[in-house]
Amino acid sequence: MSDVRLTPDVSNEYEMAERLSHLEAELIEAQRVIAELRDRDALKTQFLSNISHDLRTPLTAIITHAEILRDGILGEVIPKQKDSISVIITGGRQLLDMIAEILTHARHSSGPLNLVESVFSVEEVVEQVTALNESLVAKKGLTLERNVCRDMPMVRGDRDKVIHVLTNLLGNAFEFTPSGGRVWVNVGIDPAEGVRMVLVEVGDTGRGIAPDHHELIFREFAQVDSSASRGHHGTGLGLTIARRFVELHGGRIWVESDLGSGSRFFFTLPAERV
Amino acid sequence: MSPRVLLVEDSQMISGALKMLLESSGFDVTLAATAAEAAAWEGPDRADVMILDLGLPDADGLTVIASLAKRGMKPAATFAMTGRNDAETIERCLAAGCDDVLLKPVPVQQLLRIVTQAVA
Repeated sequence: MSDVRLTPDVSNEYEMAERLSHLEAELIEAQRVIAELRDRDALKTQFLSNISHDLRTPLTAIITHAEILRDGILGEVIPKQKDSISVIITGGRQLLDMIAEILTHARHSSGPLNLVESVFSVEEVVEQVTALNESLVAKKGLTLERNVCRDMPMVRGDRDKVIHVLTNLLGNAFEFTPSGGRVWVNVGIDPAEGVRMVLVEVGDTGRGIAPDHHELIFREFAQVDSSASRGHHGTGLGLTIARRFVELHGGRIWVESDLGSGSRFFFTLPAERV
Repeated sequence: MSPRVLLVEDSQMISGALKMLLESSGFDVTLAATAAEAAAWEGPDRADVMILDLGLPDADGLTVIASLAKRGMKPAATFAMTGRNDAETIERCLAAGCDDVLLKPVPVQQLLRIVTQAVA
């Protein structure tokens, strides 16, 4: 029969008290570190916001002056000069887009984020975003297809943020799909959730993404190819922002892809209950 | 008499470019770099068009509209100019009395068209 001790073990109790006190000290230290990290994160966000604004002002001036020159408002320009000025404008606008993305991220990465809710048709949003990209699609020699299931429910959400998500996914599809390729947007009901959720797919026949990178691409500042010679230039924030916006709606965003076989990005949004 | 434009923008780099653009198309442009300067517009009459930056150093640009209206100097047309074109910003501008909201940098031909139409 084993020896059952009913009297308290004093040395054990002392040890426990010491461990508890040690744990409490560790907890206080961890709380201090968390508070410090939060402060630093807030500082980083404020810095990103300030620097983005300060970068945008001179860039706006550069683009406006360049457009004035290009359009011959200050005097005639020869075609070669016009081409050169057009490059300044295109480059400037690309930079502005990247700055806008950093600013959006800074604005939304800390603190609570409000959705400006309304009830709208995803089909209309798809029409709006794809119409804006028609000239780019033609210029790159791509085919853009839209397929919207019949009798789709309306969506309840923040229209601007949904436009942002779709613009980002389509922008990536156009960028990574070579000339002659196909890009499509399908809208239907999410088979996993039924009529509660609307499913949007943005697919392309581009170079695809290795499965190892499917999670990485949604991470802050992540680029699949981070080398300086990479063909794609971006902030690495587009998909991070897209995920944050979709999740704020209670939806999901994910990718199905493999190298060489194109990509299919999916996101879901809550349907308006009838 | 040339149509008069009150251009409210705190960055001299931007206001200089827009002033040059509008003057080359025959507009009479007055610059204001702060909300206080814009609100003190002397006239003699109200401006035909006001182009209004939202992020001014001393106040929200939209306050200028009410300040001018109080003195009966609200311009015939006001266009807000902002780096943000989200629904919330647009709604706020329209509610404050803007006729339209222009996203910075406003393409120069678009700006000329809008201002010309406003004074037609």
